[in-house]
Amino acid sequence: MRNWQNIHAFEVSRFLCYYRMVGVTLFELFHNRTLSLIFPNTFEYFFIFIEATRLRWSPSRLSRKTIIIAAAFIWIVIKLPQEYWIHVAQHDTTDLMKEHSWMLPAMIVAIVAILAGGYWASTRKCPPADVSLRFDADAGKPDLTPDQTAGANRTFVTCSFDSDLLEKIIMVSMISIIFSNVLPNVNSTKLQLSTGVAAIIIVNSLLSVWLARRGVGWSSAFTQFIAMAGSNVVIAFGFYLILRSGSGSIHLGNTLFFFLLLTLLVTLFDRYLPFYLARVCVKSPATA
Amino acid sequence: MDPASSITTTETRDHYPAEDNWNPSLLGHQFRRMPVCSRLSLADRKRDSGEKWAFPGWYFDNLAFVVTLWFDQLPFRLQPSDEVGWSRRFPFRLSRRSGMWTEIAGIRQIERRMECGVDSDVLIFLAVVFLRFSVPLLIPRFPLPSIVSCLIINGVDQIIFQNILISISRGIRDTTKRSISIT
Repeated sequence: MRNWQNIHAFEVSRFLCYYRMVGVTLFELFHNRTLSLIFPNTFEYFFIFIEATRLRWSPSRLSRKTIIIAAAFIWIVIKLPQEYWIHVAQHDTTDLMKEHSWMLPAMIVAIVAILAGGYWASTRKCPPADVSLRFDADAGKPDLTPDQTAGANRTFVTCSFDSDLLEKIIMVSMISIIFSNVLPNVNSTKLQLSTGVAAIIIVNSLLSVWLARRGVGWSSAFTQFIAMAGSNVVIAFGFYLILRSGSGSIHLGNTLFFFLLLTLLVTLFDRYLPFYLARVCVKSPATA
Repeated sequence: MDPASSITTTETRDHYPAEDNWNPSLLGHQFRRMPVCSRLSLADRKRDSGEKWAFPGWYFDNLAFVVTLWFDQLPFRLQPSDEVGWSRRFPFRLSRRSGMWTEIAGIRQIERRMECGVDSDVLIFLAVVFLRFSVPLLIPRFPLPSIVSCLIINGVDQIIFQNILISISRGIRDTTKRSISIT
């Protein structure tokens, strides 16, 4: 959302990310390994593909068709065999490397060959580079003017309680469910967790919009995170007092972990959503 | 029961107190009296708890211990005091540690670490945990290097953790044998 100028690439990556997240959530609920094959993690390699492209070319040049073909290639040719190898066949590459001494040198040779092939293709076969090689995402010229960003901020303030709020609740709920299966001493049900997450996100969004309408801005994502974390710690302490006064209980370490995780996700989402909205406005002003 | 084995077991447990004695709040002189290994027997803690990872309490306990290791490097120590006067409000006194210069040079710490051989493993463990938390935060600014680093860390951390737990348990066993043979 922050700096991907190609809207199609962003939409495809968003779909791939949520698709995988649904798969992991279902896996944590049903513990069926085949779900990892049905919901492969194509998002990660697709992200690498777009960012590798951006090292030399502007991703805006990628057409919708190219992006979908790239995603399909990663999904079918790379991820499906890999997910089958890891999750269905349950082979361990480390054990195989111990059994077959030739595997490690062969893997190193393969990686070097892939890198050399990639370099050869990018310098000889692909179109000429748009920019010099760069790893800093902010090195190039920003595609949005300050006025466009300010306009998007106004849009965010007026209409951030519809699909965006729902998206935030679903995303954080799924991540919380996944982490609740990893952390020890989590006794709440999935429904209780999701309800709590939804309530806190709504409170957070109300607070964000209330502050934005009063002209309170944040100089950096870090200060925004600290401010939101402070308010959420107060909410967590409120929960603690309420539950303690009744018959309920709360695990303070886990609660703080979930609150900080939620704060980080919501802060980044709220901070960079306006940039995405601004790009949509620029690309298709009629629909926006 | 073989009497020799029972003696060995008793001596081992006496030399390395049970995990119930673990308390990260025992900073300073009381904490320092405990053998290094007993504070760091991560393999035992993992085995006793029956959980794969006792996170985050496990992590923070060991973080607290590493902080105390750094605290140990100071040439002075803070000791409880029962003196009257101003110290009532602050019932501690600052005393010079014996062998101050060897402490400053860190020689004693190095000796202790070499004796047990586990401290560096804990630092490696903490370094991996730190990288797993911090490197993803760099993705917005340096996307490609960070995501590739995350992939690599994700791939090797389990191998590192397994080796660390093995080396820690081996370090405890070796030091136990050495101390028993000395006594």
